[in-house]
Amino acid sequence: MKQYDVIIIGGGITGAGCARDCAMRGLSVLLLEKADLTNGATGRNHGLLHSGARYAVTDSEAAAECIRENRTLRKVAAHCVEETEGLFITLPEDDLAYQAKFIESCQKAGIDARAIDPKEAIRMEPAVNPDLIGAVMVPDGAVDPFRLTIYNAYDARLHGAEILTYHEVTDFLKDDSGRVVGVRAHNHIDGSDPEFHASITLIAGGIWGTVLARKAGVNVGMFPAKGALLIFGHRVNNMVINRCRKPADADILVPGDTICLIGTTSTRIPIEECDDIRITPEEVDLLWREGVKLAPSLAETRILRAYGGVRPLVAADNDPTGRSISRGIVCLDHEVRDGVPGLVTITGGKLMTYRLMAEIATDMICKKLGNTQSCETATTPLTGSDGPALKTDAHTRGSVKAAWGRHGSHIQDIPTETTYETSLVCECEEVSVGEVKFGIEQLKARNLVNLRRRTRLGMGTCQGEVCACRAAGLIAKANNCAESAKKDLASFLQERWKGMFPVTWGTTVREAQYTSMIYQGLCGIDQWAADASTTRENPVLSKK
Amino acid sequence: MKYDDIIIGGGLSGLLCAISLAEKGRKCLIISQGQSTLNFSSGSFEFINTEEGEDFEHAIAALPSRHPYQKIGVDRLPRLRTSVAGLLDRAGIRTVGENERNHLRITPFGALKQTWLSLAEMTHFQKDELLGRVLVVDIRGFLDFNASFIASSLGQMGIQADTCEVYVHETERLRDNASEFRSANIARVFNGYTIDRLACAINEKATDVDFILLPAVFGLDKEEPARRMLEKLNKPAAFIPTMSPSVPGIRLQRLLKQRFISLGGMFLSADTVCGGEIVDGRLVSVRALNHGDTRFEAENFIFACGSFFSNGLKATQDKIYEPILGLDVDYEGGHGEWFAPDVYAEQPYMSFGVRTDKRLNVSLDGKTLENAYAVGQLLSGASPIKSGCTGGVSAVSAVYAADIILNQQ
Repeated sequence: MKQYDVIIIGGGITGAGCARDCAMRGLSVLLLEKADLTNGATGRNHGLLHSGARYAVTDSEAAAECIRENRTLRKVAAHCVEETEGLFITLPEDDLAYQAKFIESCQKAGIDARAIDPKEAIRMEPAVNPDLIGAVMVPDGAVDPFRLTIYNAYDARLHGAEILTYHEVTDFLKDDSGRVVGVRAHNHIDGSDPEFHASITLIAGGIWGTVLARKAGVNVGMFPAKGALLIFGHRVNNMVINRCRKPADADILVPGDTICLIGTTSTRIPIEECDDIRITPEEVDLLWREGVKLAPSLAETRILRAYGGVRPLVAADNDPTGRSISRGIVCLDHEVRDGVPGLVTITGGKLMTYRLMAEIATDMICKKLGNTQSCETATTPLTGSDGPALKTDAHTRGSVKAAWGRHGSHIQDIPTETTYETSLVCECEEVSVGEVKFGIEQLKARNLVNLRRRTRLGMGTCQGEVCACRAAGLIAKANNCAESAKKDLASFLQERWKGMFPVTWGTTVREAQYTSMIYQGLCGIDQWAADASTTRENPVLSKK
Repeated sequence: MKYDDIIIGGGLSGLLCAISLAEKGRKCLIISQGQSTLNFSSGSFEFINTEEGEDFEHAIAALPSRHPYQKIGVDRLPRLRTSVAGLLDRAGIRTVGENERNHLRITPFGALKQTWLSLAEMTHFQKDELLGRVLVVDIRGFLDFNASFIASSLGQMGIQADTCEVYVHETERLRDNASEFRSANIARVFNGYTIDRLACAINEKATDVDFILLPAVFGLDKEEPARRMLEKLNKPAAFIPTMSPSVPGIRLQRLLKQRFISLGGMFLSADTVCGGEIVDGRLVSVRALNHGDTRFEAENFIFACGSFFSNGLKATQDKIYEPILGLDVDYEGGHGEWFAPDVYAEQPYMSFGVRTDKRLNVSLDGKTLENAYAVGQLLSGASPIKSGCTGGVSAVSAVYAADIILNQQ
């Protein structure tokens, strides 16, 4: 039985970041994820590269952390980041006096915030509400959380880490002294229940991680907060647009690739609901109404889908009421805290501070293992972000430019030799057959949802109705199993519908009816449809 | 501009209704937005899903009274089905299928679906008829047809099915453009000797099989290329529809349109009817977006505008409406009740549509418009995908409305 230095539980951005940091310091690493990478909170947020300005007034420490990581990620994860810059606008109904306090707080936290003439703001960002009475420019940006996580995991693998998706940790292994010496996991691919051994087990699974931790006799108080968002079918804005007021619901509009996102709300929910977040009509109304105030053209823009994630907010220790909730990073040494050696938890924090979280957790693990290597993730670029810019000319294919945006220097691994490989699977997002192959073979996509996260296939205006069937064919070919691929296609359409369901009006009804006519009417997919009550996504299984 | 009848919508129901009227010498105008669901037709028309061995009549008897079949009258349906088959035949569209019961077609995923009429070259079987060894043919690089999906389903049914991949240099050349290798473009290269060479390539691989299944990418304007392909193959063969666009569907629409025009009909395409003038309970004229103030006048108007997909119906957060005149619409509840969370469950919105009486007359604010009719997917009361009645409702309601108009004369 192989003995690892560290087992990391959770394939979100925190787990992937920890896997990379640990592997770069020479530790032998195994990451276990119960479904796919980014399946939890990581894949269900704004994708905002915070400048920290949002927290400047209320939480100067978080703001300072954000701006430091913002600058770092622009350098080390360039292919996952889009340097859009951001605006904080004041509308007639807002208090303009807040602006001065806001700028002062930003400057205190080290954030370059400067007031600009509202007319100048409209010139820079024509989509912004023209009624604005004040504007502040800040170094916000957009970051693709899927790409960031998948390339952290990829980089970790290049440094020797093993990444196993669809492996759900079910229990902890302890020795006679009560020390955690490994885990037992359920393999959702072949149904087995293997055991894995390591000196340290790191829980990096957000809300789900703390639920799991109870099995090791460890209690971390979590206060899951649901955040709902809407995705619009066009990229109406090129800069992030925020409201210059105390942080509230639905006051950030972020551009991302071909779309834009408005969010979020914040509602406490019970832990049991975290696995199946549904968006209510009230949340949709609120997001839409507030979004239109930031960019009026959203009123006429098709809403592609609604979705929500769970913020892993942590209750401070010794405060069972949860009154003092921290958005900050929490790294718990359970040997010290609970008398359970061999177990560490990293939680709290934000997408923006994942690298710092990984550094803190890895420092703690290294100290326990006597490893003295220092952290290099703040200076060593992520794989994919380490190459020169793409040279383009008039003949460069759109799909090559799009793929470069998604995979950076790994574009060289995407096959383009034949017309088959360059032919387009997804026309909305210009994803080629070669890129799909790369996603399956190198980025380990095991089903259509995995592929969507790795290539944006099916994320565009058609929401997969044209390309999903083509991609399912390619997945069937890669796994030599057509039946499993058809089942996967049926659940992919179910998953797409979940996001469309709360916003089905206007052209979205057309789209939904079209999808039903094609897949149910023409193809008869119903016979491969799984029970809708199981929202779990499954890997496509190879024929034995 | 004055016509006997104006048909709004150039899809299956609009064309069939217009042809029925034009065949009797009436001066008809079709105003069409240009796209219709025929563009992703399976090449077959369903009438109603039935239990095994059951005929249509029994299954229809179980439908709710709001269903268009019930409104039209169950007794009339056999005669209307015969009329539809005759109309298609006179338009040069050869179909197969019995008047009283279903046969089966093979879907692009390899499922077997019940259907009423199929284009002659498409798959059509009775249960247990599909036997022997099957070869499913892929065209190299064509992503909108997947032979392995079909072969693996047939395999599950105990039929031995293999796949093969073929090409000719004309299809290879088409692949130089990353997004052009789609069914309609492929159909354009398949004529004459291209077909013969492809048939040769398939024959070489089909030595040890009893039946060949091919993607339906032959014959965009006429049936001849599809027929030629079947003739050149050494084994019996049939076509399976591809993902959209549907070559047989496009051909259906073109042949029906030709038939209508050859009967003296006027077809105004790429225009959208945007309003009308009502005098004393009658619709006297309609306007179209590209024709400004022009009033298109007629004795009768047939709304064949389709459902949500075709923009015959629209939905906001608060209401479902018919966008041309705001005709009365049958729907229930608020937004929360229109859609089911399970995409594969019965979806209430699918049965929403324009309210009609038994003569298919529409109404506005509760008042019947006695010279305006609704046909096809615009009608309320059917759940076409779930109950398998899409083509049937479109076809028989169209012919029925034409009958009513003709009987008034």
